[in-house]
Amino acid sequence: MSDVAARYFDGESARQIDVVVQIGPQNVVVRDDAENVLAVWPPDEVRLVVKPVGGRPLQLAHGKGVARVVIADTSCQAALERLCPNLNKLRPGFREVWRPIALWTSVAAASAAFLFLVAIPFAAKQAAQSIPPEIEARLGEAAVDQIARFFTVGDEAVYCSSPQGDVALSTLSQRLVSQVDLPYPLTIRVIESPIVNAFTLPGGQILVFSELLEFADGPEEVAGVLAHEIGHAVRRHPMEIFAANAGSATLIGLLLGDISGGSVVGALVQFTVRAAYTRDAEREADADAVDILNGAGIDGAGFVDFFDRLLGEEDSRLRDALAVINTHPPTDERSEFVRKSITASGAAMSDAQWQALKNICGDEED
Amino acid sequence: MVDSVVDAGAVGGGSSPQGERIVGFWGRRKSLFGLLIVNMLLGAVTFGIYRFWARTRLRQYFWNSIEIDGDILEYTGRGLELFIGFLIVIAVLVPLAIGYQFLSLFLQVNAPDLFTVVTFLYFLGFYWLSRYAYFRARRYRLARTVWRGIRGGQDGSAAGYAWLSFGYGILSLITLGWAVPWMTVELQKYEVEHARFGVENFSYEGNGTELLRRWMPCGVVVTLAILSAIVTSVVNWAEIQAFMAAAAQVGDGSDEFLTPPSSQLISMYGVTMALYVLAIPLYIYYRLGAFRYMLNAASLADVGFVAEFSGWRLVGYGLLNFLIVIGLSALVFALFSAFGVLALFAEGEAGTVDPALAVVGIILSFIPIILLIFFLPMIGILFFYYPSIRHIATTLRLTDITSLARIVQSSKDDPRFGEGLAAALDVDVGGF
Repeated sequence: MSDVAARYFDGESARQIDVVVQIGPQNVVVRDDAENVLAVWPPDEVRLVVKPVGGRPLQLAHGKGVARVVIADTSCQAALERLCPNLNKLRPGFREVWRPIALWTSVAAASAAFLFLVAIPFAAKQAAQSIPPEIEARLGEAAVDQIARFFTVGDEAVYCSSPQGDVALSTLSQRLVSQVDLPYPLTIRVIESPIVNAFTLPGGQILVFSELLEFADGPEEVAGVLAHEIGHAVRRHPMEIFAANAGSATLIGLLLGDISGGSVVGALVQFTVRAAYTRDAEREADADAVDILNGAGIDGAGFVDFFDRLLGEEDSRLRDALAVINTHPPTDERSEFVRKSITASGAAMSDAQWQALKNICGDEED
Repeated sequence: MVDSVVDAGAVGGGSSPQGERIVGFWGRRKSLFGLLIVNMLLGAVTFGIYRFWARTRLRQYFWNSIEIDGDILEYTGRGLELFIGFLIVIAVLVPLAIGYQFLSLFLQVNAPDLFTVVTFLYFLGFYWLSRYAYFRARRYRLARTVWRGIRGGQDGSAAGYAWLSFGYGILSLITLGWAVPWMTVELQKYEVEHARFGVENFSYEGNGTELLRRWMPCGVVVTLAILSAIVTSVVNWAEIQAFMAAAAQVGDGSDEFLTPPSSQLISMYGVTMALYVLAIPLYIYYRLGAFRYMLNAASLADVGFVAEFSGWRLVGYGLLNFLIVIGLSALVFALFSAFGVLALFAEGEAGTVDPALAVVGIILSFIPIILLIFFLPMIGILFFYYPSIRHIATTLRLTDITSLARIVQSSKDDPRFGEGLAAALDVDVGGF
């Protein structure tokens, strides 16, 4: 076919050999000036080392070998492309690297799984217990301020408050809180929101959404929910979640190569709100709630009813199937545990107080 | 295109005992920019996992752009190798790092004195590890560099290098910086003499005394700065102690105000700071000299190197890069503020804030910031590394290149995986 002048490096030494390359139908043959055959390359194993740009010499290689043919006359590129199907595959096959990838991906995955599932939760628990309560209280104030901003509309007050409603809430709170030893004083507030929810932030900041008061059938149900949240606060679960999220976020940042971590901090507060407690943590809070209610002489049946009704719409079979991955213990199991352990049967507050609490956000019509 | 032609035109500029300018540079800023854009986009959609492949493509680009005596450098490394190296490090290093975090938290609460010691040791260990990682990365890069079918390589021990670096680092601290020229030369010697092309090791002829003069300006200023810090502390000791005590009380939550520092303390502190700031350009002056010294001291077979780059030009590239970054940041900040103000004053009906408009304003105000985050890493590569590498390469003179013909391939094993530790600790040079 066509013969082209080229320079040849045999991959053994850096010596340059002037050669003639024959781009033939069967093979690419490299001959020196004395017609000695230096190399015979099957066309399907010939590849370009570098994508040729701007009239620069063509750099040819044979498979993964280090021998090189350098052709200054680029006009033969078309002929080469016709003959060599793999010419532009800049890389040889990579089958032999699969084993180390498989090995180290699984080691890294196992390492990450160990860190996320065992090491971080354990370290977070230790961290939550070691952090001085005053620091946690300050952290909690900052977090609750952040959240309050989401509920602010214009200059309107964020937290619900009315003279009688406040009295009702604080009377109930004191009755419940007197049953436990707290590392920091609790702050229980009602916030206006159309969602049925209540949660606890670090530092004993408990927020009850106004819709939860609407949804509750009586003050005993609200007392049960509050007792449950106080249980979380006593055991410093929110701080644990906060520490675990901080650890996870740092680790994810490292894995993804984001060292700045600025975005991480901002997301933490929200994470803490959305974070689910572990099933063990929920059981602990339930047990605490029962003790608190019994101690305060409040009927805990309402507590069970509340969870039953809240989750009532869910299909029970689906719920059982999901129970394994769900962080909340199955409701039946919870109800049974609570029912068995109730000893008290008193009311949480008077009807008048209950009405005042329900109207704490002011705009009630009923 | 234009600049590459100019530089390529410098190739083969005539023979002389000073050597020949036979290093060409074929890069084009436009194609480099295209590559960086593709890398950035792929990095964004893969949550950063692509960065190992991105770095590989960037290295390929720069290696292939450099042509020595008519033949390009090849980079044969692969993204996969870097990725696997990184996985190895994650598997091993991360549990250690988390373990340290846990230990430090525990010690902070239970044994504050021990905590100080452990933290100090941790940072020493981190310094050692970063030097170790740097040497490992060198080994990987040189082993993946091919010219005329012959691989490069880096022998020597990474741990040995790290200890050398560590020892001289401590010596430099004790001598208030006066051991730095000898540290530079000893480290260069270790790096260069253990580097090889094929079977041929590079040689290095150097002596710390010769770099001393270059170090002198920076050394004097650093010494003065340290002395000034000591004098400031001693003379104003009583005041500093009182200040610390007051600061501790404020931290306790009491309402006591701090008394402002005396004008004497402020001026002495100011002098110390000014000396440290003055040391920065002098240190750059030293590093440039040290780099030139290394090139001139190194040789391979009979090939000698004569560095003829202009330090001022490199400083100019650095300043230009700095100005571009500052200018872009200022522009982005201005846009952020403008849209932010728009969001604040987005008035709806009856003088109320229109929430939809406010949201649009907030989103608009963050777009320039996000763009800046994505584009900022490119600027250093485009406006500092690219012209600097081009300038250093095309001004380099090589003597007696023909002696390289006798060099043969080494049969030594290559490192199998990427630079792992270096990728995790981020000790690479300029992000590639």
